[in-house]
Formats: sequence, structure tokens, C-alpha cells
Amino acid sequence: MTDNETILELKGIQKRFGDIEALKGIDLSIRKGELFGFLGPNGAGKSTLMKIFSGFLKADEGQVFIEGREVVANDNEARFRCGLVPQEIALYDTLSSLENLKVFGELYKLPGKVIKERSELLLKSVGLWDRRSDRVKDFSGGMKRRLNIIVSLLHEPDILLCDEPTVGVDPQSRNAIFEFLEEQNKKGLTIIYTTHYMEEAERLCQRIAIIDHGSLMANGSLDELLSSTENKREVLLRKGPGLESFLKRAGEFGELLEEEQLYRLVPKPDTLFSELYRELEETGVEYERLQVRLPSLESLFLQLTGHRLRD
Amino acid sequence: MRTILTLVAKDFRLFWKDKMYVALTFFVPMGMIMIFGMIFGGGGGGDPTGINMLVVDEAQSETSVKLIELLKEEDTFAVHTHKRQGEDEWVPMDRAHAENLIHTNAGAFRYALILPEDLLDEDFGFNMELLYNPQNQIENSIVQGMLQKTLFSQGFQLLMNNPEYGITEDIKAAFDSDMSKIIAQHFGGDAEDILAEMQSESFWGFGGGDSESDADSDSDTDSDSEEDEEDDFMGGMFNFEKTQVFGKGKNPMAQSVGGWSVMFLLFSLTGAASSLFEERDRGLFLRLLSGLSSRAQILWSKFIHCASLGMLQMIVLMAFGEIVFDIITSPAQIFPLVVISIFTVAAATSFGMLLSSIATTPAQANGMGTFFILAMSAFGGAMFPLFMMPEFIRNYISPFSLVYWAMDGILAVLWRDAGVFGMLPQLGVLGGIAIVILWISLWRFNRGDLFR
Repeated sequence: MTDNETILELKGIQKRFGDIEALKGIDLSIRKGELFGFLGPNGAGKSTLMKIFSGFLKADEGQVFIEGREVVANDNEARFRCGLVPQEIALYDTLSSLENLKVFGELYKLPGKVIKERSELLLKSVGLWDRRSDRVKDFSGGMKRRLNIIVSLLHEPDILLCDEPTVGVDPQSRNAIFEFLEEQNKKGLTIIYTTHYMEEAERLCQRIAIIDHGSLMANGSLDELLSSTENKREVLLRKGPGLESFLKRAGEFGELLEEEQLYRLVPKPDTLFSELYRELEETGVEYERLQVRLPSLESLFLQLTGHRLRD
Repeated sequence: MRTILTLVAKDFRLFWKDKMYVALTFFVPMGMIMIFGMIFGGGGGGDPTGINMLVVDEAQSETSVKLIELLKEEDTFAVHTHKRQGEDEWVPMDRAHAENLIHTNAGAFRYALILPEDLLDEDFGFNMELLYNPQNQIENSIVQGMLQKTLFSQGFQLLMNNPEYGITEDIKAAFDSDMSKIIAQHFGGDAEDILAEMQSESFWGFGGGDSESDADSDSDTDSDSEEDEEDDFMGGMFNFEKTQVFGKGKNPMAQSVGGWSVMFLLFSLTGAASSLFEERDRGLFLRLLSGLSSRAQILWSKFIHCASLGMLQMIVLMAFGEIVFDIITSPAQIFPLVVISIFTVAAATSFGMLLSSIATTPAQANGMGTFFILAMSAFGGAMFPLFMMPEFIRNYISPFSLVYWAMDGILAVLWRDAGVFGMLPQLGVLGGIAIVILWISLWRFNRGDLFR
């Protein structure tokens, strides 16, 4: 049974594509007004889940409920309550932004006047009003992404399904998208957000579900998830010369993950930090390059799945 | 229905925004119709003109000179009787030079007519030799046919008029007298009057049949005469008459207009149908289907859009054909033409949908589309008339192409003034093709990965 706070509930959702088991019995509840994240690598099953939410795909097994009402095949009422932001820029790029909004508004059978009013409001909210008559193909990647989102909001859904909406977007546009989504969420919109970027999930989502190979590995708030890790700390090492000898022995202390600017060492549960510091001191690594912090979602993911988020 | 109409309107909006696509849909086929209309229509004539014919006059007789004059009067041939020698000197063509030209400059010279010293046969007739390059069978047939026509219709008079065969004035007078009596006996009339008519000098065509007087006499008769080139009876008794018994008064360029319209209809509809891939790859189906649209609505809207676009294209191209080539000769042809166009468009749209349902990528759809459209157009008579094809292809391959039935229907209207009932076989086949292919493509779409 769902409580009054639950807007979307999944029970035993399974989906296969031939021999591939894309979803292996997902059970989950998402609360009204929540900004909920699905974190997982490519191919984890996030998009399949979003397609099932949106009514594009039918689950082989299991049920989806929206506010306690089961979603059935060709359920227009359920579809109307959701707005899907596809991973691709799903726009007609030879049409202008206004024309795109008009097409999709008409498909939701909105009156012309309503389409006009909402289009203006939404375009202004993402800073595209001045470009309303320009063809979408002339937009930058970030502008297309913003338009991609507001098209899904035109019919004023209760739930916004964002399937990796920031792929290929520069940091500035990404921030603009985050701010817009946070603003919508504050107005009461429930947002379900999939990503394979740990930083996005950490920054945006109030609750996060970690998904891998079609299974739900964990879910909860960021604090809840991190407190469940076996490790209470992780070590970040800024990249630079003189680390070679330490890197050779790093495996003795834990899992070493290489990132763009730094190495992330996720210590083994029995690793003594005193031994780690000694090793670093002996190899001549300056303390300024070292940072010990609370474990990240990356560490948790590694612990839960045995592989990295970006593998 | 509102959803379908919204999707159709969206497709038309996208179509008009793509100026290149609009140009390819309307202006390119218009250009092709113009080009091939002029090629096959000969600019309103019909027979080919200006084929180089080398003539070697070894006979050097009055008859050979007259024969050459006859050939020169025929537009089909550009007659060359002399060769250049030195700067400004021209000498009569000889066999060796003619043979050499055929060997070395086949692009320009492929035929040489030799008029030998024994041009006049010992018994009765001409001895001649045609040297030719067999590279183009169609051209060879045309050249030989035109030569036969010219020699039979005009050369026969030369033979009859030739004193070598001993047909003297006395013999002719006796023949006339006997013939007038036979005609009077069997057909009635006065033998004297008939003889007078026969002796009006034109019966044998010996210099008679003055062209101006012929024209005058023609103008006195009904201008809607059933014969194209009605020659004077007396003068034309042995003439080779050309009388069109099929497609009387119709424009042969209807073939090009119909053919290129149907071919480009297939191209544009295949292109429009393959836009399904683009929408799939851009995630637009995901957005549409997660909205209030269904698969059936998306597919039907695409069909309706393609069919409407195809109909618009057919109307524009037929109107263009009418304006430029005057292909519609009666208002009564318009309704049957609209009906056959609707059935052709339906079959062509289904074909485009089938290609999109079979292919898995736009490149595959375009590749398959180009191959099938060109093959169907060639075999179906859209590129050139069916009579140019071998009988086997005409009888056993062409009928399997929807283009064949479309062309047959269009030409039935434009050439034979067929009404809707007269086109029932063509309409039936096209309608059947449309239904069966559309059913297969819808079945394929539901099983394929278009909506996955």
C-alpha cells in the first residue's frame, strides 16, 4: 500500500531484451515533491526504467503505481501526469523553439492560448525567449538541452523524468540546468533524475538509488548511503611528479581509482592510516597534495558492485 | 484523429522548412521531365533527326543524284557526299574514306550508303550497300527503317520513271486505258472520266503532286482528318504513308511526364517514410509515445503525410506537364487522372513504408530505395517506353513493378482516353499492392526495432 506521500511506486519490475535481463525486480517508492536520483553506469538499466515510468515500454513483470493507481497499457491519464526528458535532444531542429513547443503542446491537446502563455513563461525561465523564433539547429548544445527540458514541462506534469539531461553540456550550462530543476522542484514538481555522474547525484538529489546490471543496490539520502559504507574515510591525492613509487604499492592499502585531476584511494577496512601516512612520507609526497575526507558515492558504488561507476 | 492531424501538420511544417527537399520534390522532376520530354518527344516531332549518313556515289548517274536528293530531304539524315581534300577543296566521298570514318570516328559517323556503279538492278530495283557500326541496335533499326521508307516511297517513282526499264509513254497510256476500264467496270463511273483523271500526270507521281496544290486540297477538306499525312491519292498510290492509329492527337511526351512523375514520387515518398528513422534516433518517438500519441497514430500520420505530399507532387507535375507539353487533351481526362494518381500514390507510399520497415538504418533504406526505384522505373516503363525493352522483360518482369501498372494507367488516360472503368485492372493491381505492402510494413514496424 502506498501512503499519501508516495507519488510513484514500483513493485517487482522486470524487463528482458532477448537474453539480456535489463531489470531484475525493482521495488521502490518515490515521494511527492522529491528530487530522486538513479545513479549507475551506462547499461545499468536506468533508461529502461525511465521508459517504463513514461509508458514507452511495458514491464514484463511487476506494477507501476502513480499515487496508488496502477498504470495500465496506453494509460493516457498516467502519461499526462509524467513528462519525459529523453537522453537525446528530442526536438525538431528545423523548427524554431516556439514551433517545437506548439507541436508538442498540440499533441497534449492543450488549447492554443495555453500553449502560447506557457511557452512564453518557460522560454523566459530558461533564458531562451529572445531566441524563440530561431531554428533549434542554430542553438548551442546547452540551449538545446534547456529547450529539451521545458518541452516536457509544457503540459505541467506532476512528475518530471529526466534521463541524463546534461550529456555533452558544458559546466556553465549544466549549472543553469541544475538551478532550473531545483527551482521547479521547490515549486513542488517531483523530479526523477538518472545520471552516471556521481557529482550530479550528490549535488541535486535528495535521495539516490544506486542501480547496476538491472538491480537496485541501495537507496536512501546521501548521508544514509555514505553512512552505510564500510570505510569511514577516503584519501585523495593530487596528481603530480613523485608519486610513482607510492602508486606501485597503493594496492596494499586499498582500491586506487584514477580520476582526471587526482587519485582516489578507497582504503581496505583493515587499513591503518598511520601506515598509509608513513608510506607517503617515505616516498616524499608533500602533505599539501593529500586530502582525507568522508567516503564518496564512488567508494560506495565500488563497495557495492565491485567495480567503478565509470567502468 | 486530432493527434494524427497534428503529426501530419508537423511533417508538412518540417517539409516546407527544408527548401532543398522541396526543390528535390518538385523542381528536379520538372527538370527531368523537360529534358526527357524533349529527348523522347523530339521537340514535338517524333522521329530522330540529323543522323550522319555518308553517301558514296559510285554510280554517278542521274538516278543516283536524284536518290541523294531524296535522302537530303529526309530530316532523319545529315547527308555527307563529299570529303575535304586540302584546305578548301571538296571531292566526292569514296568507300575507303567512308569505311575509315566509321572506324575512326564512330561517335559522329556510323553509317555509309554505297550507291554502286550497278545501282539499277538488271531486273528491276536498286542495288545498294549500307555500311554501319552495330554499336546501337535501336539506332540501327531506326536508320534502316527510315532508309526503307525513303527509298520505297520516293525511290520507286525513280525506278518507274527510268527509261532503262523500258516503261515508255505508250506502255503507260495503254496501262491507263486498261486500268480505267477495269475501275469503271468494278466500281462504276465513266471510263473516259477516270482515264482523264489518271492522265492528269499525277498517277505515277512523275513530277506531279505539286506540294502547294496538295496543301490547298488538304485545306479544303475537313481539318480533323483521320490521316496525319494524307497524300494525294493519284500521286501517293505507291507512297509509304504514315498514319497514326493509336494515341491520335495525343502528345507522346505524356510518357516522360508520367514516367518521371512516378519515379520521383517513389523517391520523395521513400525519403519521407525514412524520416521515421531520424525521429527514432533523435528520441522523438520516445517523447511522442510517452506523451499522448500511439504507435498506430505515428505510423498512420506518416502514411497520410506521405500520401498527401505524393498527391501534391503528382498534381504539380501533371499541371507542369500540361502547361509545358499540353499532355491533357480533354477535360474528361482529369477525373480518371486524379483517380489513377491516388492509387499510384497509395502504392508508392506503401512501398516507402515497407522499405522503412525492412531497413534498420536510414542508409539501408536509402540504398535499397535507390536500387528498387531505379529497377522498377526502368522495367516499368517510367524511364523509357516499354517497347524498347526485350519482350521477355516486357512480359515477365515489368508487370511485377508497381511502376508498370501506374504508367499503364496514366497512359491509358492520356493516350487512350480511358475512364475509371477502363482502368479497373490497373486500379485493382495498384490498390492490391498498396493494401498488401502496407499490411506487411505495419506488421514489420510492430516487430522491428523502430519503437524500441
